[in-house]
Amino acid sequence: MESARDIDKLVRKLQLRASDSLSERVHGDIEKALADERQRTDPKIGRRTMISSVTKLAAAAAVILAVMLGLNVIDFPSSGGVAWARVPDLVSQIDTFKFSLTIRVADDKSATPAEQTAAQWIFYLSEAHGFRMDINADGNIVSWYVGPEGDTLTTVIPGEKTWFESPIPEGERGKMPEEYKDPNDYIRRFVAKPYKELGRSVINDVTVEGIEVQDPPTDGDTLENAVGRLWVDVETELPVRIEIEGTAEGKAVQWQMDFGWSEAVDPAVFEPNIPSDYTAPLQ
Amino acid sequence: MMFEDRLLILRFNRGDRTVLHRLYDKYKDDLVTLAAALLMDVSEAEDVVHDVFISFLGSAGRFRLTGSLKGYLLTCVANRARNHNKAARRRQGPDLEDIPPVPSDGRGPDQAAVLGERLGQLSEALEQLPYEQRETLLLRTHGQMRFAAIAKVQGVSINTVQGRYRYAIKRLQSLLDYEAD
Repeated sequence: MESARDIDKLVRKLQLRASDSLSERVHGDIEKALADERQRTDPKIGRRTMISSVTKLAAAAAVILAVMLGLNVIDFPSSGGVAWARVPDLVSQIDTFKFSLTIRVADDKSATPAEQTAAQWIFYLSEAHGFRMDINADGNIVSWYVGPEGDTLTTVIPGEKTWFESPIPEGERGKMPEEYKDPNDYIRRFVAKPYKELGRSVINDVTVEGIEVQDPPTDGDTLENAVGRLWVDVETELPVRIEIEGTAEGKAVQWQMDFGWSEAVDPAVFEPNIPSDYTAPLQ
Repeated sequence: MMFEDRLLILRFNRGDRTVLHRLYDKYKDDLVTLAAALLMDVSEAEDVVHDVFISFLGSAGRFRLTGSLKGYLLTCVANRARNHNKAARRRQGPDLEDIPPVPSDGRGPDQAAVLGERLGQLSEALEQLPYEQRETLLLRTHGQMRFAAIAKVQGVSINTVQGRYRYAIKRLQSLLDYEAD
């Protein structure tokens, strides 16, 4: 007889595909309704509304992220000095943040992970200034900029001294790129694990308080003997850093996620500021 | 992607109905699967999914979505499917067991054939479950919903939902074991 788990797995495998005719019906009806709506709307008003909503979207995305971070943090108790109950109120005022993910892999077993940086992603999100993502793979940097209107993507490649702009289709605006790692989701899963308190430490001159978990979430990457640590600023009560260390295929691996909130993010980072000697070959 | 869901919810709550295109593309297969497994009729299932999205068209900006987007859509489909089932008016159309299920784990052709046969047996076994048990099982396993959320959808206690789930599993164990012989 099949076990209950087998039955559960089998039911999960049951998967049908929506027919093309259904997709045509649904998309057609949605498009027809939208077309009717556009006909009834004053274009000038529509444009202003769109800009406003996209601007607020960026802001709300930041606030949602911050609030969720706060709600997750407040879920775990602490004997330390952090007043977790205040976190949601504090983060709800935040309209700008920076989140970076750095993955380091050691060359061999004897080296430390810090000796080689494999890749780094840095994300900035701001109500007033929009979105920016930097990807650094082995020193090759690509930066993406999306202004608060959300209608244009500017790509800058310093190593090639090139840049180009491309319009963002209306249906794509507000979406995060595939490379984006969702920090609020990650932290929620992280703090759901059993943990031990680490007490206080200092990161970049900031006094922090931390917890440590075994086998932290790694989003599909296999890390053996993995240990994760979350550090929270004792003054602002906001996450500062998450560190994960483990081994993969015999090599030491380290993930480091750093957070910056509000005034820690310079508004200038949202401006492409393209040097005059850069070219735009695709335009 | 969870973050994308949150942005879609945000846009929808602000009255942006264009997100429905993306919502549909993202979850159409899951929704059709749930509706078909509940109603045991693919045509009727697709009508249910279509109706869910049409009802959304008129509601953007008028109410607020919270929590899991997928869970919300599955709940909408389950509610509509239940109404269809209560009416007990099945239209003509291919039954679920006439449509080969799509193995979702990327196995090779031989394994897929075996899996397909097993899934066909599952479809037949599911049809023999009382509707409430079938709904509970599917929302729990396919929808990955908590028992408390299912209890809310069905308007019953958590104990009742847990009981329905246990009975469904037990019944399927018996039916699949019998069919395997």
